[in-house]
Amino acid sequence: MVDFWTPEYAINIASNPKTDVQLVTVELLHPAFGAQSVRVVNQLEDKTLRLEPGAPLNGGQDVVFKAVPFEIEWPGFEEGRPVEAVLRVDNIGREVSRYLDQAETMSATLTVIFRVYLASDPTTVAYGPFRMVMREITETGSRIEGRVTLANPQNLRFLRKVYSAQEYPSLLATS
Amino acid sequence: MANPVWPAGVPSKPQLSGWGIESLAGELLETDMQGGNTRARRQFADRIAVMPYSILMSAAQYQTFVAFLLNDLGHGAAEFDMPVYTGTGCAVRTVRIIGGANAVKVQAVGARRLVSMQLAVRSL
Repeated sequence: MVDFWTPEYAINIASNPKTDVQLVTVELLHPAFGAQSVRVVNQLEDKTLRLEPGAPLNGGQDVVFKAVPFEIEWPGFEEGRPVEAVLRVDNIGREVSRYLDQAETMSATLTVIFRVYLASDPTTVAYGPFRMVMREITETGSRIEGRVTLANPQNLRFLRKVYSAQEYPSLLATS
Repeated sequence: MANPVWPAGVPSKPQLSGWGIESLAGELLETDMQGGNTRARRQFADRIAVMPYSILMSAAQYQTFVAFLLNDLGHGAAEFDMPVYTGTGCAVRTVRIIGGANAVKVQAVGARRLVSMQLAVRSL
């Protein structure tokens, strides 16, 4: 299995260096946003970071992540439910809120991409990217909260093959 | 967009009696357990310091300050650039008044006004 982290990130996690900092970022994508996305970093000042080459927008380019506070609760494990985490994004600057009305008009999922960079190397995604889907979004004046989950296998239809008479004429012949 | 700049005619030097630094940088991620060795991990690449700041102004300077606070800073919600006392000298820094105009305290000292506030100073 391929690791989702770089060796530098593994060293950072294990050794807790005093000179380096993890830059936790979130990117929100939706077809209604057009050719742009909302990119935020959980730091005190905006950061210019390079996206991975396969990113949906601006792949391989240096882009600005806005310094917007957010928090993610660790995902829980419950029987019969997909693994979910709660993501809360500060709404004082309305960075996300201004797009939500547009997103409501289109039936498509709000994609969340989670990446961690190291301050010592802003050109490499050190951990991730993880693509998830955000649901059940609630908005207040100061925050936007939603449930972030991976693709939900419970909702996939099992036995998706349709046995049609055109494709399988012998099924009809024997019955 | 450029930050608003502290008005030229208003003093920016603090009263030493009301000056201090409450924190030099953001919080660390620290051990949350009852006992044992407390460990810490740095969370932020940048620093924002918290500084109590009191400035003595004349009545005219106070009027200019209030107009700046209410109009230019939107009741103190915006960041602005001002010369701040760093502990060793003065330097221009980007600051914000914590709590905005709601948290600014004013006292009369004779004919003058003592304006007290807490500043969040970037990269002190």
